[in-house]
This record gives sequence, C-alpha cells and structure tokens, in this order.
Amino acid sequence: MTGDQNRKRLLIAAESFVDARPAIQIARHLAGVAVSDIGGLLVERALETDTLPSFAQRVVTSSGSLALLPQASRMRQMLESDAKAFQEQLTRLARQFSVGWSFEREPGDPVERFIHASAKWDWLVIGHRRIGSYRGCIVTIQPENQATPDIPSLSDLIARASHARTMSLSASLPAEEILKRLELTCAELVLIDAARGPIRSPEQIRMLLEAARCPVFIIRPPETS
Amino acid sequence: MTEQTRHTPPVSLDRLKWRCDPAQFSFGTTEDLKEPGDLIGQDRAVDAINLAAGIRQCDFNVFVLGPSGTGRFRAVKELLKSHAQSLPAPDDLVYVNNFAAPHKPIALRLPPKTAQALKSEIEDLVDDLGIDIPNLFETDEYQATRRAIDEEFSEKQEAAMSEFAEKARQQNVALLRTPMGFMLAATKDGEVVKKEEFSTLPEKEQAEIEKKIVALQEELSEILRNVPRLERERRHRIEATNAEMTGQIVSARVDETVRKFKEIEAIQDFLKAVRDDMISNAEMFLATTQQNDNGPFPDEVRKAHRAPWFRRYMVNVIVSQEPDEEGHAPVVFEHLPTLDRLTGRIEHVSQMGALVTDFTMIKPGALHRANGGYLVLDARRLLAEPMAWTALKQCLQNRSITIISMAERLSLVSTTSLEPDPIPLDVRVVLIGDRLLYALLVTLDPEFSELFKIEADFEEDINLSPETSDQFVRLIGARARKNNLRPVDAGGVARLLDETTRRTGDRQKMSLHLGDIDDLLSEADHYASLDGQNRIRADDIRKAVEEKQRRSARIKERMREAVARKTILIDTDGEAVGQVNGLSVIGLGSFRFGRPSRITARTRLGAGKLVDIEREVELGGPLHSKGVLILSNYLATKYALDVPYSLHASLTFEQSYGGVDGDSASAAELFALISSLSEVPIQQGFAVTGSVNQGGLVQAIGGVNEKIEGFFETCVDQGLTGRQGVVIPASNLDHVMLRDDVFEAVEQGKFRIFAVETIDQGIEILTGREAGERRSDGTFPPGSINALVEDKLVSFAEKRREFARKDGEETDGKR
Repeated sequence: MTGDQNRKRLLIAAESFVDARPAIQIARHLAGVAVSDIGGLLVERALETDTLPSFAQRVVTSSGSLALLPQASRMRQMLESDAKAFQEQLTRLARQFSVGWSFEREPGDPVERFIHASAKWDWLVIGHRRIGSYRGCIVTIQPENQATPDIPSLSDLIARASHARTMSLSASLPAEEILKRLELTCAELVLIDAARGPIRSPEQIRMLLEAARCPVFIIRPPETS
Repeated sequence: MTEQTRHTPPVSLDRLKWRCDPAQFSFGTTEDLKEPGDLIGQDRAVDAINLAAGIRQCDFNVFVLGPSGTGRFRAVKELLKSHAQSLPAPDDLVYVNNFAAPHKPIALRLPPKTAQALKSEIEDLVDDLGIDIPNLFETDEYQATRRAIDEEFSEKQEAAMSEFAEKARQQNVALLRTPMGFMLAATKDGEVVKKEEFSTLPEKEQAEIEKKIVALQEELSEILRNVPRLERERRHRIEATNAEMTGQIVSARVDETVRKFKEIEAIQDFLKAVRDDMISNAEMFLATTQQNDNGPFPDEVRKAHRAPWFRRYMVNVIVSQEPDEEGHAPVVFEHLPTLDRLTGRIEHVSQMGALVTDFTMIKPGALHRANGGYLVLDARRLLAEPMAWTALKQCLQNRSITIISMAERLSLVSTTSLEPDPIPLDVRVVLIGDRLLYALLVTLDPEFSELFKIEADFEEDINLSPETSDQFVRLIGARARKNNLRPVDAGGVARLLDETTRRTGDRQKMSLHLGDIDDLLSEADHYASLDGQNRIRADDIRKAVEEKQRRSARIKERMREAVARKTILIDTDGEAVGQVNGLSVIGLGSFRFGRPSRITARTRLGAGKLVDIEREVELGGPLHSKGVLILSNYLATKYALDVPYSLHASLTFEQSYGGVDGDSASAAELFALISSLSEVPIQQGFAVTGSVNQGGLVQAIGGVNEKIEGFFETCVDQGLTGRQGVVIPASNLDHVMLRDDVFEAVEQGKFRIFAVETIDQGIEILTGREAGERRSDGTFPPGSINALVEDKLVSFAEKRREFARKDGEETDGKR
C-alpha cells in the first residue's frame, strides 16, 4: 500500500518503549513533511525470564547498575506500562501533525515480525536505544549504481532537523565490512534500502542493529516470502 | 465734659504724619537706578549661609528659618550657586555587577564625565562580542576542533561497546534488550538456554556459564557506568576549547576598553571581572544568535547588549556630569523629599509571580545628585514624609548613602533585596522652614542640633533709615525688572515704601516680605497697563492696595452693616455708665480689620469676686483671663485698702459669641468698671484699646491701625460728630500709620487720637472728669473719679460689715 503521492506511510517498530523513543524522534522530523500515516508495532520478545537461571535474571540498567529482574506479575505490569507509553507517544505525534496512526502489539521474534509487518508500509524504522548522549551521525548505506533517490534527501532532512552530520557507506562494501565500520561509529541513525543493498535478510538486519546500536531506517523492506 | 479737666491733649498731626515724600527721590523711575543685590537687611542670615556653604567640616548643615516671602529660597539659591562655582565637580558614580555576589552591587567612583562614556563603551563591547563570538563558533576551525573532540569520545564509547559485544558473541552470550535494561543470557545454537536445559548441563559447564555471564554483567555495568564520565570529560574538553578560543577574542576586545580607560584604576578590576565572566559564559553570545535567527535585522546591526542576559555587564550610571556641563559642585533642590527621592530606591519587576531586581534597578536620590555639593530641602515637606527625616539623619551621621526601602525599615518584608555598596557622602544640607518648626526640632530632636549647627535667621523687617530706604528703592527696581514689570516712578516708590512700613505695624521699620512686594507690584503693573501707562505710579500702588483689601472685605463689610443697622449695638455718641467701646482685630490670612465691641461692667456689694463672663462660659482665652485678673488686682490694691474688698462685679463683651483672647481690651474693661463704681458715664464717642498692668500703666497692644480704622468707619457710618476718637497706649504711637481718610478726618478736627500712659489719664479723657491723685492724707480729691470709686468700695465694705453684724445678732438671738 502506498500513501499520498508525496507522503509515505511510516511504521515504527521496537521491542520496548525505550527502544522506540529515538525512532519516534526520527519520525517527528518527518511527520510534518513526508509522512501521511504513522504506525506503531511493539513486538515483545518471549523472554520467559523466570525460566532463566537465577544468575541470568539480572539486568544492567542504562546507568550501569545491576538489578534483579522483577517477578513475573510485576514484569507483566511493566510491559503493559511500556506499551501504553509507546502508544501515547505515537498518538501524540500523530495528533500534532494531523496524520493517521495505528498501533499493534504482538509477541514473537522482533526483527522477524518487524520485517513481516513492514510489507504493508512504505518505510520502516526499527527502534534501538542509544547509549550515551553523544550526537551521532546519520549513516546512509547507499547503492552506487542503483541509487535510491529517497535516501540522500531523507538523510539530509533528518540531519538538518537533528543538527547531525551525515556519513555515507558504499553499499558495494561487503556486509561484514559495513558492520565492522558501524561497530566503531557513533551513529544516530542508519538508512538502508533493504531491497537493493547488501543488507537484506532479517538476520543481516538483526546484525546491523547490534552493530550500529541505533535505530535503523529501512527505505524499502526486504522482500518476504 | 470740660476742657480744663482733660490734661492729656490729642496727639498732634506731626506725630501722626508718616508718609514718605516722593520729592526726596532724585530719580524719575526705577529704570534709572543701579541694581543692588537681591537681599537687604539679611546680613545675619547671609553670613550664616555663607559660613555653612564655605566651612568644610561635617555637620555644619544649616537651617534657614523665617517667615515665607522673605526671600529665603532665592537667597539660598544665589549664595549656594556662587559657592558651588569655586568647588570642583564631584566624581561620577556608577553601580556595576558583583559577579561573585550579585546581591552586593559594587559602587565605582569615576572622574567626572566618565560614567556615560564607560556605559557606552561596555554596550559597544557586548555588541561587538555578540557578533564576534558566534562567528568564531561558525568557523571551520572551531567546527573541526569540536568534531574531533566528539569523535574522540564517541569512538572511545563505541569501541568499548563493540569490544564487549564481540566478547559476548564469542562466549555465546546474547545481549538482550528489555524495558528495564540489558540482559545477558547464554545461547546455544543461537537460542537462549532455558533453566531446564541449563540444569541438564554438566556442573562444570554450568559453573563456567554462570561465571562468564556474571563477569559480562559486571563488565557491561562498568561500561555503562563509564558513559557519564566520558560525557563529562567531553564536555570539559569542549568548555576548555571554547574558553581558550573565546578567551582570545574576549581578551582582545576587552583590552581595547582597558586601554581607553587605562588612567582609571577603579575600572580596571571591573573590566577584568567582565572579561573572566564573559569567557566563562561564552554560550550567552550564542544564545543571542539563536534568538535573532528569525529577526528581520542582520546580526551586524542588532544590539546584543539589550538582551536580558547581558544586563550583568552593564553599567548603571547613578550620577554623572554631562560632557557639556560646567564642572562645579551641584546645587540640588528637591521639592518632593520622600524617602525614595532622597536616598534612592531599588526597583523590582514582577517575573512569574516573583519580584526580582538587580543592580541596574538601583535609582539615585537627591543625596546622590547633590553629593559633593549642596542639597536644599523644605523642612516641613521633609518632616511630613514618612521615614525621610530619619533616613536623612542616618545618612548624615554615617556619612554614607544607604538605600533601605520603607518596607525594610518597617520590617514588612523579609525578602533579601540588594545590598549595594554604600556611597560615601559629602554634602551640605540646607533646610528651609519656619521658626516654629525650628523651635520644635531644637527642643524635641536631640540629633538635630548635632547635625545642623548653623541657623540662618531671616529678618521680617528692617530699620527704616536713609541708607536702607535707598537699598529698598533699588530692590524695588530690581524686582520690577526681574518680573518684567513696568518701572516704578518716584511716587510709586514712595507709596510702596509706605505700604511696606505699614505692613510691619511700626513706623520705624520696613517689611522684608519680598513676596508681598512682588504681588503688589504685579497688580499695580496691571492697573498701569489698563490705564495705558508706561510706568507704575502711586495711584496704581494705591489701587492695588485698595483692591486687595476690597477682595477680602466681605466679612468686614457685613459686620459694618450689622453695626450700622444696629443689629450689633455700638454707640458713637452720648454717654453711658459702665459701658465703653472696646476694639479688637479679626484676621484671615494676610487680611485684618478692626471692629468695635461694647464692653459693659456691672458692680454691686459682694465678697470680692470679679466675674469675667467670657471666661465663665469658656469663650475667654487664657490671655484674656489674665488681663481681667490683673485689672481686678489693680482695683483691689488701689482703692479702699483698709477695708475688706467687698465688690461683686461682672464684665462682658456684649453680643460676642465667637470667643475673645488677648489682653488688649483690659484697659477698656477697667474703664467700664471704674465708670460703674463711680457712676460717672463714659463718652460713647470714644473707643479704647490698651492692656493694663497691676500698677495702672497702659501697655502697648497690636493692630493699633486696624483698630483705629475700625472704629473710625463705625463713626463714619453713624455720622462724624467731632467728639469721637480712639484712646491708645502712648507706647503704640510709633506704630500708628493712619489711612489717608482717617488722617484727613483728624486733620479736619473730625476725629482724634489720644495716647495715654496711665489709667488715670484715660479715665479723664473718657469721662471728662479729673481722675484725682491720692493726697498725703491718703484721700483722693473729693469729686474725683478715684474718690468716687473709693467711696463706693468703702460703702460696700461698711454695708457688708453691717449685714454681717446683723446676721450675727440674729443668730445669737435665735440661740
């Protein structure tokens, strides 16, 4: 499905509200100029934390402190609250820019579900929490010969709005090389064309997320079976 | 009445002449005269003011006292201005921010004419840096430096995370993101190892897994804990870089200002503090740019110094000399000496429901403006303003100006406001007030005499002499010129002199109420203009005097009408026992007029009581009561001394309902009593004024001219008979300055003035009978007034004894 002629339908997908927040900020930069609908998708990884060994039932918070995972019932409450916060931010954004919105929540493997859901949307932003407050750069992985026109303009738009610089990696590089470089780059956002670039499969996208440690903006989702 | 019984003749015309003869003047108009100083007859006061103005020791402030209209303000102004010319201009005063303690603004004393220049220079400094600093942060050099720092630190962080992620991967540990944070779980074949599966593993493997998970948790915790530290380091590096780069620019620009004011030590420390603060807070200049991004004006012409956050650098000019001003000490007249206007104030503005202030909101008061010179205040206005007098004294005692609001003084607010540096005070204060106020201050305020050691007492009048007349004539000319009036001719000058003399009520004095002279001249000038004259003449002065009287004479004319129509009974002919015409003066503002009152006395046998009816009904004031007691004692001690005082007498002012005070009618009251006792009538064609003492001497009174004129008008209304006149104390002769119509009547023998020294003289005039002197045998000549009085009193005493004896016999008989 496509949106208005010049506007796109954007899906924000994340495993938690903490991960969704930076993605929502990216969407805010686009909502007023390039987006007709915003969707939210929260995929809760089935962690079953109470089935983990006790030593593994600990979390390291973003401030670096170690804490025990809460009881299952408390955990459920926190997940509910997390989902509610995601939805509220989404609706607020949509109302602010008078665009349509929707929100779904489902269990499963996050990246798999993200990719699957993105078939109905033009753009997908996968959320990922950022560590530290450094202003990173907007990284584009741009195919050289088969240029995706949207990527540079989107990159510039977002960079201008967030006062970030841009950086470009050639899609002709091997995926491993790209991931290696991203590991050491302080990135704010990574833009890819999953239909054309070297990173296409859900597994590659998962690895991309782990390497970049920031939201990933997929212009064209990979083809799914 | 027989001529031979009157020993006291009427006052001769020579004694009654008082008019100034214009023929004595050799000028045509005052235009021909050389201008004198503005003041005459005030040598005492002028010397005092000059001393206060010249003496350098503290606390020799001066109180200028005297009635209004005597030229106090003008004299003070002229004298102080003259002194101020010889004193140097005071320093300029500014308040600047105290960067270490903003609530304690710093006062700077600068050379004259420097403050405004410093203020402008600081504004330019801020404007210039408002452009230079943002430009600096836009340069490629800065951007590159900044980028390098960001990359350095972000690389450190990313490298740490990257290493950790790799390590976890290699150890088959998955890093999972949860809403609460990061979780680490062992994996096998890409799947998380659950509890059941874990428990089936060999113990050793379990231990290994547990150990590595725990180690990785610790390591991740360490990495994430390090993030804020790295951020802090990055920030400090950026701040240091900013400081270094802005420091160069700020220092370079501030040095330009330092060089401009290099001679002034006080400014150097301030500029150093400004420079340091600007370097520490360079981001303020960036905020200006961001604010102005949407403005219509280019950055180059925007005034950065107007932004609120740059107020901290501004210079608050409290006192300054303008560049084109002559450099001498100030003379400040503060006409509304409230606390704030005197000592200054600290203003506040409301922001978000709170009152805020800063050093730029300190406003100067009159003490600041007059510092180094002179401050002139109206004493009554000063004392009428709450806290103003107290504050002034405190400033003078402490020799510094401290601004404390009334709310703080009254402890109404507990909010700490500013505590600006007190300003050293070197000022001479001149208070101008009336004598009563001065007396109250001296008596009731012990601090007053310590702080105001000099009094400048302005005279109300001056002795009339050829020299002072000459000075006065020139003064008239000067004031006519100053007020843009027509010149005054010799006749007008003579008439004016007459009026000033008459206003003093003393033929040998001239009034120094210069305000009155100005008013008279102005009005006379108006009449001269109506008459098409190019000079002010005697007629114009006379008309001005008469018209002024007429404007105020409504009450007088109503009273006169009441007498003429016999609503109020006053006889001006015939005779009556125990009745005499007394005289009083009624005044409203500067208008006073005399009017007669009938005074009656009744006597009978009694126990020695003199009833003052006015006092009995509380219409008599204490001075009037005193006069009655005195005349009562005169009677008691002059007559029938060897018998008990057996008189019951009553005195009253007939048809008087408004209260009487003063003893100027005590002679008249005594005459009425004597007439009643002697049963000899008093000629009603006379009126009497004078105060009597216990020895029977007639003493001077006030308002003699108004009293004579008042009775004269009554006689005119009822018809002049040639037998009418006024008896006055001889000691008032020098005060008699008859109006022209009264003088003419005396000249024509239609009216007379008698001046007496004793009661005996007076009673002879009023009754036409000899008063009588006590002879060597102790008796008065038979048939004399005194003899008749004494005989009556003796008869009262004998009758009283007779009654007492009969009463005693009856009482014994009844027993």
